[in-house]
Amino acid sequence: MNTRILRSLLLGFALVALTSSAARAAGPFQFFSVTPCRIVDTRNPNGVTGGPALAGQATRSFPVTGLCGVPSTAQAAVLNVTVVAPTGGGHVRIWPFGATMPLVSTINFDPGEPAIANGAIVPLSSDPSLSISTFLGASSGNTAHLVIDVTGYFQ
Amino acid sequence: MKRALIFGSILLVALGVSFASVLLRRHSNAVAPVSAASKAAGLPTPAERPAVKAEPLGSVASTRVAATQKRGIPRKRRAIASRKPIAAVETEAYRAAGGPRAGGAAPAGVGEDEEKPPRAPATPESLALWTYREGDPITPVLSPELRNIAPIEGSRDEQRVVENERLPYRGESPGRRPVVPDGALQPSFGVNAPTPTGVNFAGIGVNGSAPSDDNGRVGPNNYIQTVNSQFAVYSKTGTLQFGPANINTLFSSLSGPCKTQNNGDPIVQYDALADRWILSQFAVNALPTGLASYQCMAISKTGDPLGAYYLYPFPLSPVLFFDYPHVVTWPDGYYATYHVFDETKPTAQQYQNQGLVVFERDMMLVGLPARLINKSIGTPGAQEFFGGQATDLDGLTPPPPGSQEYLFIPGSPEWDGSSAPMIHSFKLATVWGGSPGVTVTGPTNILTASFTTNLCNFSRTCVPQPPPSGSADKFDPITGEFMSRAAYRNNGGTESIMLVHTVNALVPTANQGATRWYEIRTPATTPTIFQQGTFAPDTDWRVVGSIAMDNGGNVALGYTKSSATVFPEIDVTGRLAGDPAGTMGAEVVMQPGVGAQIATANRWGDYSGMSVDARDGCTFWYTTQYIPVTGSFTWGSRIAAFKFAPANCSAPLQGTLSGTVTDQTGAPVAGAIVKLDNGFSGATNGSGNYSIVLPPGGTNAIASAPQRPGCNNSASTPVTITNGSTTTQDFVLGGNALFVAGPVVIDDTNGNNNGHINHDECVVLDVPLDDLGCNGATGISAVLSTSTPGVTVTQASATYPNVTPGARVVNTPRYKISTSSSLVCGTPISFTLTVSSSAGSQPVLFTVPTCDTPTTVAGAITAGDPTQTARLSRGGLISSCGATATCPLTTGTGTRHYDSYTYTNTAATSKCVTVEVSPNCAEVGGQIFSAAYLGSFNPASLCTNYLGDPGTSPANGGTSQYAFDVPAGATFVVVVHEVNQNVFCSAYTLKVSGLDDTSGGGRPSATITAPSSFCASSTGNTASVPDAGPGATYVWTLSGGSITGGQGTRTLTFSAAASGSVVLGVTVTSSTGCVSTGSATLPITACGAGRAFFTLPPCRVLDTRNPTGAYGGPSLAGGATRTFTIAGQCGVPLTATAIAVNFTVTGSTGGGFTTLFPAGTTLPLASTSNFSAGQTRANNAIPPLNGVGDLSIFCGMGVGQTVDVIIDVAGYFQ
Repeated sequence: MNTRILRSLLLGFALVALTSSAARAAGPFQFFSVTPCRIVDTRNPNGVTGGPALAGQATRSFPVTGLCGVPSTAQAAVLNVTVVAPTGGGHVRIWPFGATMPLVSTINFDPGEPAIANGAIVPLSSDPSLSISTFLGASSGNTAHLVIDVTGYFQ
Repeated sequence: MKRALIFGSILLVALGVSFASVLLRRHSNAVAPVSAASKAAGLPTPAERPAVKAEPLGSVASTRVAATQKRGIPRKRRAIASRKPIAAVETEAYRAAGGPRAGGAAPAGVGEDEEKPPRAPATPESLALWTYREGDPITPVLSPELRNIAPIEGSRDEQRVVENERLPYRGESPGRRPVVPDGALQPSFGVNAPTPTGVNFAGIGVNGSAPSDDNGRVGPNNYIQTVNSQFAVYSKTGTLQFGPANINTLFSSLSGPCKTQNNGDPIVQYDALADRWILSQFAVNALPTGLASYQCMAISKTGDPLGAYYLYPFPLSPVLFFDYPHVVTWPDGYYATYHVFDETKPTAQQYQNQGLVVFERDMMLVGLPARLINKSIGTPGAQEFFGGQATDLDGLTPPPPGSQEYLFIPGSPEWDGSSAPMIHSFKLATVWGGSPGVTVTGPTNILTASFTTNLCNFSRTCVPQPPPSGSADKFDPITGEFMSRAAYRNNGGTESIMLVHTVNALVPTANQGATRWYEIRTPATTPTIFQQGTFAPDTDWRVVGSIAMDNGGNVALGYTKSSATVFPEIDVTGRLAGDPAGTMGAEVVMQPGVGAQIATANRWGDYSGMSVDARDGCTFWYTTQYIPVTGSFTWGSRIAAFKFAPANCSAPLQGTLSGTVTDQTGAPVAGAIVKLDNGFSGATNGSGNYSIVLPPGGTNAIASAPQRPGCNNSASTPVTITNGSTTTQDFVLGGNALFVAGPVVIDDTNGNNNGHINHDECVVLDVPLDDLGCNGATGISAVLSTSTPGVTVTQASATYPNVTPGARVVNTPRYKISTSSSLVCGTPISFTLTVSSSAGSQPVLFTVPTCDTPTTVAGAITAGDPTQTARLSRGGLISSCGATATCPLTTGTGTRHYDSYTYTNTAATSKCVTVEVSPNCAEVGGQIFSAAYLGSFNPASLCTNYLGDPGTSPANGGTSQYAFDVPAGATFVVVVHEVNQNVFCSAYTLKVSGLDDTSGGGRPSATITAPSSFCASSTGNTASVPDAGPGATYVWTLSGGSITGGQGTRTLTFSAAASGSVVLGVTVTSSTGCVSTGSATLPITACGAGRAFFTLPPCRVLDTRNPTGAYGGPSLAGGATRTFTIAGQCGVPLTATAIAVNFTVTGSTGGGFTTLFPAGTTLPLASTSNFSAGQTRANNAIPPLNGVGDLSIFCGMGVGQTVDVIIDVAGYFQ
């Protein structure tokens, strides 16, 4: 893939860089679609890809590769990120597991929003068990449920 | 006599290549014409013969070499030979340097009074191979019964001088030569002497070594003689029962220097308290350093000298030369005194100290691992002691309970710098237990009557003989030192110790060797000289004496007498207890002198042996050497018995305690020991019988069976011994069955069949169980396990037949193990066998070696073998690992037939390789030699690629050994060749050990060959393992997919799941049942080429707010799916797999969500957009299409509710 095209692609999506201050380009990669598939739903019983809800000012990490047909070799995933029933307004950041939390946001929401979604292309870590980290940018004590669906990946 | 042909000779020896150059000089001026006899005998011409061969030579006169006396020797100390080895070093060296002329024979005659340069120190690498640490117990090996061992017979044509390192005599300084006459001189004969009993027979004779070191001991039924370097067992009437054989015949069950070296300095002992025989010699200049010293000790298992022996290769030092060992018997240990030298130091600093080693007698009596205590007495360069002897128990009365051992060392100004003639007396208190040690108290100096040890200014060339010997043939008086054991007798509470040494009866510089003897009493309190005398009744020399006391307090003194008119003869004198103090009596000729010693390196002695029959208490047995036929290396020996009249000596009161030791089943226990509180003991024979002869009285007896650790000791049982009768005391030992592993059988015929365990091999094991308890066991089952990496037990359970105590049983079925590629070669496998039986559960631990590959080949040197040019000189040095060997000179002319054997070190590291060569040549004079070469052997250039050699040629039946390092991956060649041209060797064996066989064991491979990943949902995938041969089976397991074919074969066919990983497992079993398992976990990935992104001008594809149509209304209805064909709209091609869109919802009549997904697929659990009633929401999405450009949208709302959606496209992937 031509990097110019990729750049233009990324313009339309919230992109999480590897680091906020020293991003390094990687690629080019090619796109593979998968049948839309739910990876995370924190409304489910507690578990690696289930509950509890995200807590304000806390980081939580999730696997992506190995699930929903995303191979371990995937470099980035095409996600639909949905915030459900936040107890207050705020934002959610998503970045590769193991990297420093960047100054970005993937989705923003107001208080009382029952559910709100956004598409995102998120780079993945090479860790075999955890791919991405999330941060709930809301007041401490607030919570929000998070749902992550995947429709494709780059490698 | 005269001038007959004699065996001439040659010689010699000495350790040290550099010494050869001395010989070279020495020999160069003495050449003899070859005799007609030698030609007639058809022997090889001397030029082709090794120097060590004796051959007929010309006249005596022409064979002698004027042995020069020492010259320019440092005043204070010098080293000369001590009783040291042996190496049969070549004479060829001097020949090559212009020695012998055509047809000439090599004469010899060598004075050893030469300085030798220091040996090279041991390298750190070779020292690292010395694994003995102080306090380590030495585990013995039980020999077969001696009567069943094939004797190693010394090569009689190999002549060697057993060296004797030079002591640091002070008297070599002229200023120290005493001028005081002997203060105890007996200038005339006395009256009494022991009477010959009529037993007087020839002992071991000419065997190629000098000096003879002749000594012997009498036991209840036998006499054993040891000489350099052979031994023989006789009946008490002189009937030969075993031998003469090389002493290392006894040690042939061992490995290492005590087996492969036959260095001499032997001592035989009879331990009357335990009714055992102890035979010993040293092994010196030994591996691993080439400098190491060992004391090789063999102790008979019972009183039968032809029975089995416990063999102990006691390590003494990796670098020091422990010379002149004299082993004696004492209740708390076997003690040995030594002269300790450091040959790596300059000559004047080589002497170190009077060595003292105590061996753990209690353990040796029962054949258990025994320790030694190594002690130095004296300080090099400061207070030096040498020439000492420790007390040796004679008779049936032990020393008082708890008695210390005593050590006596001569001292005088000219000897060791003492202030006056004296005896340095020491007490030695030995403790064993957890921290063994010997406390040395002393010296207490006992002043003696004046004497001087300065004979011939300490030259070996000293004792005169009649013609035809010349001045150069004078022999060594072994002046000064106490040569023979300090004979101890406890005679009714009076403790007497007899000592003897050679002194000068005249005042130097005049010389006449005489025997100075002492009786020392009260050793436990203040050792005191009870009487002393210097026996010099006429002008003849009397030297190399040995002395003992009988049960009546009478004394016999044996010695060699010689002078310019008396051929060396064997005489015995003596004294009755009541004779005037300090006097000996008449002289009894035991063996008249008949010949003179020529050219034998001036060596004589170095000691002789007077012993007393312990049980009859009165019969003295004496042995020493004489010269049956004038010549070089022609010594013979006699063994004879003497006693004083019954009125003067009677046997000690004694009775016998005997009985049988049995186990819980009533079966006899062999090898048990019955110990009495008074120090006596007896071992049981194969019938469980013991018999102890001891003084009458009451004592307590305890029977135990240390070789059967499952047996309990008996209770202490009071016994009463009555004079002249036998007391019977039987013992029944308690205790359960106790299992130990017997010799494990390794059967790898299902593997690579090389006899040892390799990596990747299935091996069958038989693990015999020996019941070393005192009862039997039934219902025996066992489970084998191991924690050694790379080893799996595949048949762990077995049963054993019922066992009786002392017996061995074997498992059924056989155990099986398999090894993997991670097995570490050379690391033993540690097994635990958990044995359950009627005796309970016992863990039995044992180890099995891996990859150990001693290879033994049988060969022969024949006329058809290839030939090399000349051969290497046998320099007497044993090549060792950790040091680079120097190629000895080549020697001889013509060619030698050789065999060569090529090996490769296939390991990843350098290996220490040991080569052992054992000839059994039927040919007269057949000798072989060996050398090793790195890479290749060039028969025309014997030092090219040289790695090492054994230094000597072994005797038939013996073994020579050498070692060298071989780099990783390197090839080396071992050459075995004849020593004498065309004198073949009909049979020899060559053993090469130390290499690891790193080859695999042929276990079937279960290594799976498969693609590194699989396409999601792909079919027709294959994975396979190598062919394991006919009859093999293959069992596969699979997760992350489905097996579609090939189960049971080596190639599996399967489909992959949609995601995750494919996990393959396989178990391969060869036709011999050897099992391997393999597994592989491989990822499932999306396949095909990835898709590239193509931009489009932003374009609205559909808007359900528009009028009803394919891309317009109606609105989406809750719970329904609506499908749109995207391809063909806004430039999206049919081939697009996904589109990049902005997806907007608006006008909802309630809250809900939408899901975009490929048309024709099941609605997934996923969402694209969420909204509340009335909200307008936009979201980015890259929804996949169904391959023909169709997209479905599900409306997640309540039935009856609606929402409008708008899709704007910005690009697509294809």
